[in-house]
Amino acid sequence: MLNKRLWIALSAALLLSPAQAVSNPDTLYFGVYFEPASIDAHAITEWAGMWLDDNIYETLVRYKTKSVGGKLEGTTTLQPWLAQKYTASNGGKTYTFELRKNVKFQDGTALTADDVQFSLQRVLALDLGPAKQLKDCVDPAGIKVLDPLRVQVDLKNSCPSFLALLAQTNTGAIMSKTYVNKNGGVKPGQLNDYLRTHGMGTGPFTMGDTTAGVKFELNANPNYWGGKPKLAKIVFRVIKDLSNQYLLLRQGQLDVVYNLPSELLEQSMKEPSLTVNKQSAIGAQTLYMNNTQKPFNDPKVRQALMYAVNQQELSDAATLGIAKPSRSVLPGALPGYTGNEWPYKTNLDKAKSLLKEAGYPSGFASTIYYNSGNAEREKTAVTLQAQLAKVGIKVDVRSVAWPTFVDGYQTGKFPMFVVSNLAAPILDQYMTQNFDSGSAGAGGNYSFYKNPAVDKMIAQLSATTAPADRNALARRLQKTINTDLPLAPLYDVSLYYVMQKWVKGWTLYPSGNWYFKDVSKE
Amino acid sequence: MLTYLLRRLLLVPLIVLAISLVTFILVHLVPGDPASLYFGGQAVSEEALQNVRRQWGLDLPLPVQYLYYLGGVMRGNLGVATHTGQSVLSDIAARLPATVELTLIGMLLAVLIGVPLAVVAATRRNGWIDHTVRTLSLITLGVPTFWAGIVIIYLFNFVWRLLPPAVGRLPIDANPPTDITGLYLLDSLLTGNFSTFGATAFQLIAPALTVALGVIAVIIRMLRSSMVEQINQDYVRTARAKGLTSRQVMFKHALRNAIIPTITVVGIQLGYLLSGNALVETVFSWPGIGLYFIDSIQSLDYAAVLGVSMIAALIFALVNLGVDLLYAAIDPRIQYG
Repeated sequence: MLNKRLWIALSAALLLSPAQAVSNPDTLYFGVYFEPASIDAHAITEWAGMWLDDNIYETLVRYKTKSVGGKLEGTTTLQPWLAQKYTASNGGKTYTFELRKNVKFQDGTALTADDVQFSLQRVLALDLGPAKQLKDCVDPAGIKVLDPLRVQVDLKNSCPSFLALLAQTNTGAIMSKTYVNKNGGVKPGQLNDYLRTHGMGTGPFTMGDTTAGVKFELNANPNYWGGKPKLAKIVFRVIKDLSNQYLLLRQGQLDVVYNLPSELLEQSMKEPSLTVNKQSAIGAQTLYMNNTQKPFNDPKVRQALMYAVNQQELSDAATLGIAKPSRSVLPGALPGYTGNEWPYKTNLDKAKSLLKEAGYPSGFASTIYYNSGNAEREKTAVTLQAQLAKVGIKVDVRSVAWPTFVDGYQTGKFPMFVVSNLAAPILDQYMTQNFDSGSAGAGGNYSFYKNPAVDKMIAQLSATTAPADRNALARRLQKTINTDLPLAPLYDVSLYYVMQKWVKGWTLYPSGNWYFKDVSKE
Repeated sequence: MLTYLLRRLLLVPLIVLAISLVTFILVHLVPGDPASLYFGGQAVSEEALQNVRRQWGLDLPLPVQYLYYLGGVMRGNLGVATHTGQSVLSDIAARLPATVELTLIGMLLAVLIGVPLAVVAATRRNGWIDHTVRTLSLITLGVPTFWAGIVIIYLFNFVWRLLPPAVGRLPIDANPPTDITGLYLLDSLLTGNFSTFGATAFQLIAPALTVALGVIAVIIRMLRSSMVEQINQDYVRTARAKGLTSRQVMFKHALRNAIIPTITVVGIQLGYLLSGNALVETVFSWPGIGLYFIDSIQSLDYAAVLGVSMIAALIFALVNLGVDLLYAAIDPRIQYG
């Protein structure tokens, strides 16, 4: 991350590196900049843990793929996975899962309905971050074993996001009951220290060696029920400096890197030996405003801000124009999104007149915070500063360290801040976390937005299963929230993976899952 | 001498204790909640946060937390690092050798390059060598280490392909030698694994040179000026008059008298570098204590920050003691009692 400008300047004068032959054809070298804090699938806290667990563990259902221009892409529709079949009855309040036969855990024991019941009950008992949504849908007693290969789940209500929750590794991963009980068991509300660093599931890869600060590995599981993976090993190499990651990629030392800063991404796109794959993640770079603080407690002020903002210019400045401007308070890749309820278009006169109506004819002064070291957010904040100045809003841009930043936005200390969080493709979860007054603060509603009508509609959404009704509700919700504008969405976040041309078969999902089974180097 | 040594050694635990208290207070002054950082700053319910706080003892009053911590330290337990899930002691043990190896080799390079250059510059005062050396030392002093590191990687690896890529202590597909001391150079020699020795040494050149650059500049500036001072002393003239060769005069007489201030500065640098050089470690993906410290701060990992601070304080105190003892060895006029 250090001195990106230097790289650009130097790279400009650079000769193209010669084409490389595929090195280590059965091992994928993946450049990453952080390490997993936990690989306990039901207590994953960050991405590195999820990358591993997506391949060590499996879920009852999984997102489908579709072919786009000859290339597979992940979708947000579900298909059976460890469950070869599932049926909904009782008005969508009872689900019966029929497990695939002959699925074995990596220790050779067979997967049974007991393990499924145990795993779901464990998520509820641990009651960590991801469990909340599942807890709203099901009680531990509602998960019943019918026979060794059949599980029945009675829901508390017609929870429409239930299946999607099961598709998420951190709520739906199936663990072996025997293995967990042998290694610490389940203590309600408590992390399991053994499973934090050890994992054993039904997936195509097993946990391999880990060297702190250097690498962590996955090894192929030759007995995987779906056939042997194409690669023998995945090596995640910890390379903290992104410019260095890029150099290593250029030299063929790494096969894949992701999340390069936009300047290096642009360089990569010109590189003939590399391909750039885009994942439409579910998230937006957002300017949050604290709705309980003056002057942002007045919707007119928030709207004025949106009229003063030029989203394309922000995308140009922060992402070299790669990111798509937001057209709703929901990210474009989230199911239920519509871009047709967005009234805003840059209009400085309108912004000024709204400010005048709100009692700030000559603007006001405020502060935008971002976390230090995040170049994209810095550029966003500085560009916002210039744009808002045009309507008399004088903004001070301040960077703070990550711990202070998280504390500040979760406890409502900042008047404004820029952040982008990635979410699962679950509409109800997104709505509840971001806009329900009950989630104010750490729960995800960082703008401390409160609109009883919106709370009511979100509750209604969580009780509606018919797709047409849900879409209509989602549209109404967006219309209302877009008007209230508790936060200013700026542009949709996409994740970019830069890889060698020889890396084949890697499908990217909006949900952010990484499945390595069909990845190969050719 | 022995009483002096004992007195100094008895002070060490007190220093470390004081550092732990100051660090404890400082890290708790930083606004932030380790529990919510554990969840990556993502949306999370209050119950989940409470669960984690309770499990880590963060719900206890601060003085109680500190006493618990000290109690653990007395039993040789530095606590569990919340951001890695491992014990802080094993985390540090896994990373310290990387830092030690890099620092020692870097220092060695610095002394081997810096001392002769300083001596030559001093003896050819105001000549072209002197001017060149002084200008270079000014430049290396002014250039930030991480920037120097990036330029070194770019030129020596990427453009000229003379040095290996900056992937840490070993090439990307190599395995570490059997673990004896954690110092790869030493371990590979001890196990007769010469290919790993070669690979390790090759990987070390660029980062060690980066570490050395800053120190070389310091050595040159300090040593050159004190050498110049010594060369004009009467005893040097006497030595020359006795008919000693120029080399004998410089290295046996002048250098020995001139080097004490340099040792002090180099000692401080050594202590500082041994406690981790986060910038160089970042640029070269060097899995040392400096990177670990930065990660710990980023995740407000109290136990890890405290652990590294205490180990760093211990190293610093011991290195300083070593430097003080070295004075007596070099300069017979200095005696401790």
